Amino acid sequence: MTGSKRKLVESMLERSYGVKLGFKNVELLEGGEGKIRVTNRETIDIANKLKRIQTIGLYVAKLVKGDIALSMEGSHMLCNEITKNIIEIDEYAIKRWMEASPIEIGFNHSYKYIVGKYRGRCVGSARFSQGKLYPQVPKERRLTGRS
Amino acid sequence: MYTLPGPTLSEDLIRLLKGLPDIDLDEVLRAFSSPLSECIRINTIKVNEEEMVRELEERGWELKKVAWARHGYFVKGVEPGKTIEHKLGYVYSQGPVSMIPVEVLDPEPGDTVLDLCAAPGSKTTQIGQLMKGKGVIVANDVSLGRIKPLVTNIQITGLINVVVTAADGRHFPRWVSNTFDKVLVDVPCSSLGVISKDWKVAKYKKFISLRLSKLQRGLLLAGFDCLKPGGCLVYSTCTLAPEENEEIVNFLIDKRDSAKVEKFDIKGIKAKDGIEEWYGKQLRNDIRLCKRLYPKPGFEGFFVAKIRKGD
Repeated sequence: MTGSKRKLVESMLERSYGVKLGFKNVELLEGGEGKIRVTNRETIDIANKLKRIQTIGLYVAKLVKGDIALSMEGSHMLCNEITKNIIEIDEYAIKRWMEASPIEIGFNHSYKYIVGKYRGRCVGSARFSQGKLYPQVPKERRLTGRS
Repeated sequence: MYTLPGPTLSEDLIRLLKGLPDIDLDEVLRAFSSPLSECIRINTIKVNEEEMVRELEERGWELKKVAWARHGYFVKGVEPGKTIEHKLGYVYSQGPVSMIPVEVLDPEPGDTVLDLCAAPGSKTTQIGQLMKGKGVIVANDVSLGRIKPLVTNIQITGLINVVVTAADGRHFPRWVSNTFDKVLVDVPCSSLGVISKDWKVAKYKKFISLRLSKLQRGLLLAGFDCLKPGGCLVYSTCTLAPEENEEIVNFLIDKRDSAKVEKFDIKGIKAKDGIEEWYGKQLRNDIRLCKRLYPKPGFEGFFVAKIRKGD
């Protein structure tokens, strides 16, 4: 990722979540569909020698129409630094969250993405729209009826 | 055919089992028809182990430490794979004996590690956990269909230092020979150690082992050639056939003068020495340093060899 893009990501993290230090001491990579991944320098050096690479590093965030949404792992990494747009989730809501079912919240909100926090740990982002949270949980990680 | 309350064993499998020295046949047959113990690793990349144990016990999980695996626990009272904690990556569901190869490999923070046949990623994520996010892991699997669960499991675990490739593992020395501190070669096999998971495996025919052994030889040789001098390789399978186990290690020792089989111990579980002779074929003496873990009720069967590359 270029230096200017990195600065943009860092400023978005600060503006959206109050994150000041952000992804320090790691390399940021740009993937498809606005996805941002983190890794370390040694991993990139080895990857440069390899063929048929599928992924490098960890998916941590996604740029979506001028906003930044943190992945489950991205929010987990930055959890202690997040001061804005974060909501505590209780036992009932975490089940809804992990099913990716809408969760009604009793207030309005200005930012499009909100990080969920359950038992002191961040569990990813939900899109906010018309009084409801729509948790962004990948299909393969959702609790289902069979779970 | 030999019929049990569980799987139906083929003639070839019965012949194989009867030919193995030091085997408790009754126990192995009981293992084939018993479910595996539920087992997890607590993912210390994401959570504090003591805190998580406390939280899980409060929620009714019955946990008992696995003697041979750091962060491993037997579980009762829940199906771990269907829980929120699993989906969030705080715990990882893995067979108890399948944790042994990585414990023998003993990856450390800062190592450069190759996992040549990595999917679905149980051992890769175990390696990553022991490396604490420092160093590099190359996780490869030839099957594109199996790459997706591999990538998902690496993501769920929260590992930043993994490159995933989808290549034929036998090609790796072309790109990264003499590169890795540690290499895990956990090869595709006839899976006779995990018949309890899939009874169809008991229809085993000897030609399956012979066909797989060609691939296994190529993968072990390639893995060894990717190792730095002084580096350590672990070869493992979840099968009982010497054609896929001792004979493969013996082949490597014959082919590479710098390959030395190393002694190792496993805490808290009984293992037999590697077999030095099989159907009249005499193998090298140091093959006995390999370990056979025969299936027991609740436990998979495995074969593990530790090999050092001389300087």
